[in-house]
Amino acid sequence: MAARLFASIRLASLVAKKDLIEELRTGYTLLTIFLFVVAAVAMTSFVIGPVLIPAELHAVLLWIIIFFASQFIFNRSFVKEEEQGTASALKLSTAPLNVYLGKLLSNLTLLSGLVLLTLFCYYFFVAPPGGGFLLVAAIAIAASTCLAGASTILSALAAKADAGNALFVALVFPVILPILFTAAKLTEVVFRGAIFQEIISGLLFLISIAVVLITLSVLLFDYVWRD
Amino acid sequence: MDSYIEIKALSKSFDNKPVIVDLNWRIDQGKCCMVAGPNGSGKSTLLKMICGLLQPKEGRVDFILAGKKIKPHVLFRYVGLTSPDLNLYGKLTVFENLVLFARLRDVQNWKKKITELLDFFELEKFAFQQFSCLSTGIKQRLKLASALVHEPLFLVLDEPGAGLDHTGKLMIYKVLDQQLKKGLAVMATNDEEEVKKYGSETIRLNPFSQPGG
Repeated sequence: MAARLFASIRLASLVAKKDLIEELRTGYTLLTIFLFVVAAVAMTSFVIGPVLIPAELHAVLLWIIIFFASQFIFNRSFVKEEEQGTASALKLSTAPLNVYLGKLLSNLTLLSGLVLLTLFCYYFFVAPPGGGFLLVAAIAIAASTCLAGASTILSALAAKADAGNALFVALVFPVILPILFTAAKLTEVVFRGAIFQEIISGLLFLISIAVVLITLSVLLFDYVWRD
Repeated sequence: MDSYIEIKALSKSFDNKPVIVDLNWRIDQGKCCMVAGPNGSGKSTLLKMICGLLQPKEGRVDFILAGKKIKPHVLFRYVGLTSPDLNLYGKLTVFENLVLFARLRDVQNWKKKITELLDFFELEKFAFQQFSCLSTGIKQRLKLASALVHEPLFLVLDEPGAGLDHTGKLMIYKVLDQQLKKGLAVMATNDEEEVKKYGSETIRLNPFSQPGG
């Protein structure tokens, strides 16, 4: 059992590495994300200036930037495979579980990078009240895991449909809203000066959502991946 | 080892238009089954159904290895496919593509196997070029190499000669000769010469009609 799990992780990491190399060499997506995040945070900093704004507004601004930036990552992995005609090659090369875990890993890596970049920029340019960088980073990573879990399986579903992009938006919206609400609320609590013990229940909630989403996806992916 | 592919009552239609109707066939080890027919007759559809990339409307395809049916979720270990619809990763180099598919298929001694394939398909000088920068013929050679990297028992070739020069086509014939010694092959083609040369069995498909042998 453990050997099979390690083998799956090893093969999944090959799929993830391939995705990340392709993204790095294409450059377009990563550059667009970088420019969007830096521009959005710099604009926020410029408009707010020295004015003190409430913690909830900081939390909302931060998560709006993360949400919009993440749209460049969402829905890419499987749609790209189908559009480029590489999905068949992947289907004839490894088990569906390895493909799902690989895609999840690459989405998670990209999303985590994105949220950490946004956080660094936001703390550097805007300097929200309450500090708590590590706590907000923990919330952001937990939320990223949920978002990656949801977007990976939904992107696989959408890639099969003729109007894949429209379907993806319709499917993903009700799933990610509760995640974003929770993450924004927890971030606001941290910006008000909360300590770890005050956000632990919220963090556990996000982790539970991630576990449920990923478990369901692992169970369903075989059916989604097949024709 | 007795290995074969058994096609049972296979049917497929698109938008209620039948493409394949009630096809029954058996392809034995050591045989090359040619699939011939004009454009739109369903050759690629049939090959995709054989590989499990497309679900039939009715019927099924069984892969038998040493008398036992291979389960669909491990079929990828035994099947190699080259098709115009199947692409490799454009931003990865020739070598990286081969390494990826060899390692995903758990090929033991993959470095040696890749070196052999690069040599056989004369791809050494393109090894560090990205797939998207290659010519059509070289891409086709790489697709063939990636289909063979795990030494599949069942080789499925959909118009493998498309875009290949004379040297490239000779490579395919060599591959087929080697393949028939250890497994079997199914090949779709419009080239009657190839059908005559290798078609010990031929499935002839006609647009929207029943196939005939």
